[in-house]
Amino acid sequence: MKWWLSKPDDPVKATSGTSSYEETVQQSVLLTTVQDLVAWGRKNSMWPFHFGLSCCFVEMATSMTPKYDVARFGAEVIRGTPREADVMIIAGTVFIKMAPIIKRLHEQMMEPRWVISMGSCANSGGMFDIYSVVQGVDKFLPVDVYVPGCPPRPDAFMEGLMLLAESVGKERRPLSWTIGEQCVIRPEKIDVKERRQEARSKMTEFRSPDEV
Amino acid sequence: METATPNYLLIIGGVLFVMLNVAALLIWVERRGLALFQDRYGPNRAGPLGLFIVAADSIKLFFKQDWIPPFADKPVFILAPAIVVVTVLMSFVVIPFAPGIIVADLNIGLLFFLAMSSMGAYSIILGGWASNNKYSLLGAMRGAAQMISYEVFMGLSLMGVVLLSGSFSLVEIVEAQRGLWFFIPQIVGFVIFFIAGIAETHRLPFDIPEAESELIAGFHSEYSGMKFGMFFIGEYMGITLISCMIVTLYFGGWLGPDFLPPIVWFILKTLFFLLIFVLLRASMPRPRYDQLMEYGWKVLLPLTLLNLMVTAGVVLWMNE
Amino acid sequence: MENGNSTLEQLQARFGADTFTPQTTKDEVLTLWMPHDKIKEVLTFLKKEISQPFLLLYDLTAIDERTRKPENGHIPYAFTIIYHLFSFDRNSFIRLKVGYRDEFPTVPSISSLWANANWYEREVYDMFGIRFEGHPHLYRILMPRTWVGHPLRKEHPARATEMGPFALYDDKVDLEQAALQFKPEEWGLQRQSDDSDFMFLNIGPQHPGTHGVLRIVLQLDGEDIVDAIPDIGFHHRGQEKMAERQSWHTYLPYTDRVDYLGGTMNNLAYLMAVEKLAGIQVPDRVKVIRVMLCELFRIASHLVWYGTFAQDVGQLSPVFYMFTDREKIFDIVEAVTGGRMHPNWFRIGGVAQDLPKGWETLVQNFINYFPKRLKEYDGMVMKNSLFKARTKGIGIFTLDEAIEWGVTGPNLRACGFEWDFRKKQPYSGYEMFDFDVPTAANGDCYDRAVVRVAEMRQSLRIIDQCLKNMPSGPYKSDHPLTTPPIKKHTMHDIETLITHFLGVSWGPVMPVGEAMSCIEATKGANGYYITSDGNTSPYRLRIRTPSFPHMQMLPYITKGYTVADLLSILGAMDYVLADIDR
Repeated sequence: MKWWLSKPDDPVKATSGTSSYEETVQQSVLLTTVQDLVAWGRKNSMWPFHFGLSCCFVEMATSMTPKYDVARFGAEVIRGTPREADVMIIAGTVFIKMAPIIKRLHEQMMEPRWVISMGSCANSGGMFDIYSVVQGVDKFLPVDVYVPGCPPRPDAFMEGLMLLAESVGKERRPLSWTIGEQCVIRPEKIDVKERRQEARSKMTEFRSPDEV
Repeated sequence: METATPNYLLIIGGVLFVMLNVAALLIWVERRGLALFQDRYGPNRAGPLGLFIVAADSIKLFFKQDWIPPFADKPVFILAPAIVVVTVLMSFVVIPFAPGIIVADLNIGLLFFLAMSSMGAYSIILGGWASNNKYSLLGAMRGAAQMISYEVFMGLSLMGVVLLSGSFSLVEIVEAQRGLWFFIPQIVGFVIFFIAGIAETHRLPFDIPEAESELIAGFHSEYSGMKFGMFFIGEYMGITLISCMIVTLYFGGWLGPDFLPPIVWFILKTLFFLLIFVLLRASMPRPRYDQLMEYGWKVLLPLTLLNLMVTAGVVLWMNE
Repeated sequence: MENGNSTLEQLQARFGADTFTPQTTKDEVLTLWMPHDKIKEVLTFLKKEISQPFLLLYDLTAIDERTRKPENGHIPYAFTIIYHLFSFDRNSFIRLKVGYRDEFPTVPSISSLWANANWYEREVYDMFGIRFEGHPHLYRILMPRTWVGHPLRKEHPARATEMGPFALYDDKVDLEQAALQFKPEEWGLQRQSDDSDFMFLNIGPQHPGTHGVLRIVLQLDGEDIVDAIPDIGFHHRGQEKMAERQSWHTYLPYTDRVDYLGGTMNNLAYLMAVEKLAGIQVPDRVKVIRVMLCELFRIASHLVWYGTFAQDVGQLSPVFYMFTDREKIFDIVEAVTGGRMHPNWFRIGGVAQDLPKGWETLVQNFINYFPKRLKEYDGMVMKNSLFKARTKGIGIFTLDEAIEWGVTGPNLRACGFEWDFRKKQPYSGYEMFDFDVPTAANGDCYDRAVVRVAEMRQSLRIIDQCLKNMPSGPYKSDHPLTTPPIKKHTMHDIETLITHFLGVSWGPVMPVGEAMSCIEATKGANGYYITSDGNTSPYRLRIRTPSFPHMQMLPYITKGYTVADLLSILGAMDYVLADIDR
């Protein structure tokens, strides 16, 4: 395979003509294969940050326990320090007093990092439209997945984590600061409501709450 | 000892390759093992039986942003994780996996092992110090005290084996166990070595330098990416090393009935002790730092000395 | 329970007949207004001089009365300070009120009289802007230092959406971080001793050992704790302000989230007060259903505590087994209520619906299953010698100290005092049940664990009795204020229909008055003190939570121990952040 160096002042497309079609394909195949591998690694090894705000944190912790066992997806390695964690789960109410601290913790996490907003409070403030609560963590953090519920069941949290994993698996990030394009290509966010619409509209028979 | 032109490079490469893979496999064993003890499945999605989870972890760690805090002492910060991996790998040099499969049969093999494991303490101290973080510092202080203390009993508990075999060479120690594995005459020494070994590898119940509920991640709180990965893998290689040493010193190394080749015996025995390490982690609470020290100096040290004296006396009496 | 007449006589004999103005309240607690200048004397008398003294400062709070309608032409004060004291000897409360007409009054501090008054006064200062003269550290406690205004004053906006959009600029982050910077001098702490420099270590607000957003600043000499300063308020959700805009009925889901491990237990504490106010007597079936659910939640809450406590001292596995058992409880809770952690299932005057068919089997299965597990845990945790080494003799407080600091619940019983509000002031039909009150003797972390473990067995006994003796009958009381109202009363004429419609849409209107509840919640004495001005929502609602005084005691019981012990002490205390900050 042929490689070349370009000078910073050269016109952008100066080198493009020198490579043959096959070479370009070979390179990109190599790169995309490595990118795929990396994405696969990230997807299967999402270590959550040991961080909880309120009630949702208990449900998040429950998802680690035998009945739910999030470890199956390789996400049971809870790291106490933000430096070693990959995904921050905003599990609970985002308090105004806590917001600067949450922001700082997020900054302390290393790239690539993701944020799951768990529960109504973190999504939108939920039932706590009150002076001490930020109305949604997305006011100051980029959120990748929103998990509804108050608090969401552990199953719902796990589904959120799976959605994130799915999207991480499709995400394309530069392998290094010298290789490839320097931007993150994210898949489009999925609307689970739409995805389920059809199946849900077929549900007509429901169990009565008067029976176990 | 048949040292007829062994292909040293092959053995070195082989040991390096196998050890890194065993450590990786051990991570999987531990995660699945913990899950088993805790009524869960554990990682089972990535690859068959979740075996690829370790590959995923390492790929992720390799490509994770590697960052040196501006407030850290940069050269030391970088050096610390390297020390742990290097010292542990160096220790494997003297371990006889099977007749002929050893990198270097030093006549002071045991001393070399002790020296290397003492060096390992530096990684914790330097890493904790260089991070310039209070939690790291506390972890490093704890780690230093714990490892240096337990170093003493570890060294002394091994002396019983040395007395019995009359050599510091690990190959000769294994050969000396043809009649009787040393864990029978040296049961006290074995127990103390095992305890000291857990303390050396700072594993639960003795994970005091990184006690998660107290010190967040202890000495490696500021580490990210592959530097943290090296601490992580270093810990597991340390466990493998201690298990190998236990097998070599007390359980007859590669010795075993003939229906299996020696190397298989060695691996089986080592695996058994690895599992014990996992089980220990799943079941024991963590003692307090001062309790650990007290236990070491007030209980283990006198016991070790007593063991040494008795062994020496018996050896003298037998030689009369 | 005594009715309080003798207390009043004793007080009048000491301070003169016209010093106190009694007030009648719905909860029949002796309520007296007293003049400003007598606050300290009266309280000192009640604590130290009177026979059968009032040793426990149960609660201290205030009310902003400025928007209240004049009652009978009487213009109320601008602010009222309310002291709730409790006497164990008399088994009764006393409520003392002091009124102020100033916009920003100054009140003499009683922090030298009761150790736990310190935080209560800081809270009142933070929430109302009322200053306490002679208070050693009168700083904000729940709101950030940079906050402008005092949230529980009526002019302070309640909704976040009324306060403009939230934005977090870098400058603001820096400003807030600077405000969070710990200054030892503020708290009278030395930076160094004669021979060494102290290290100040921030535990939290994010720390794996604090179970939530709690910050403790430790002054360390090596690993020994010289002093500890808890910093709370990171979990303040304005639950008390919230009550002032929710209807009596729609406030119920919020109570669930006060002690978020206690589930329906919180509903019960709130309803005990509301039903006193409304004068509702609930049918027996309701009482027993409520008791059963609450005791299930007590076990669930204790299981979370048990597991996390073991984890705090480094034992990884028990928490997994215990959460599995908790899931079994949630299976029952889910079958009955449809919810898990926050079922929001009790209603004013009843419960949301009747028990589902087949609930007996579920409960019976759990009763059969659980004792074996508890026994296993005894061997795994309680009898583990390392666990004992980590918890025995750690974090000791004596009974006197416990009462001085306002400790209630299992932590109080661990000091050897058999005090359980379920036995001493039975509510919701607890007098019908046969159960013991477990105690322990030494008041250390291990004993707190012993008491809780024994309590789980007693709760199971109560649940068993509920199962065997579940009365039949309606699941709602037949009372006009029962919410939602009973449907069969509607279809008579336009009047009944309108009443029903209003009860459902606006919610019930509670009669004017005030009432307080005090129940034995999972973590200690939990109570709601409600003031109604005859509206569809409370005029003021005060939540007395057990964890608040418990956490306040932390510096006192951690001095001289090590960082590792701090985790044992925190674990054994069994607190929930929402229960501290509300």
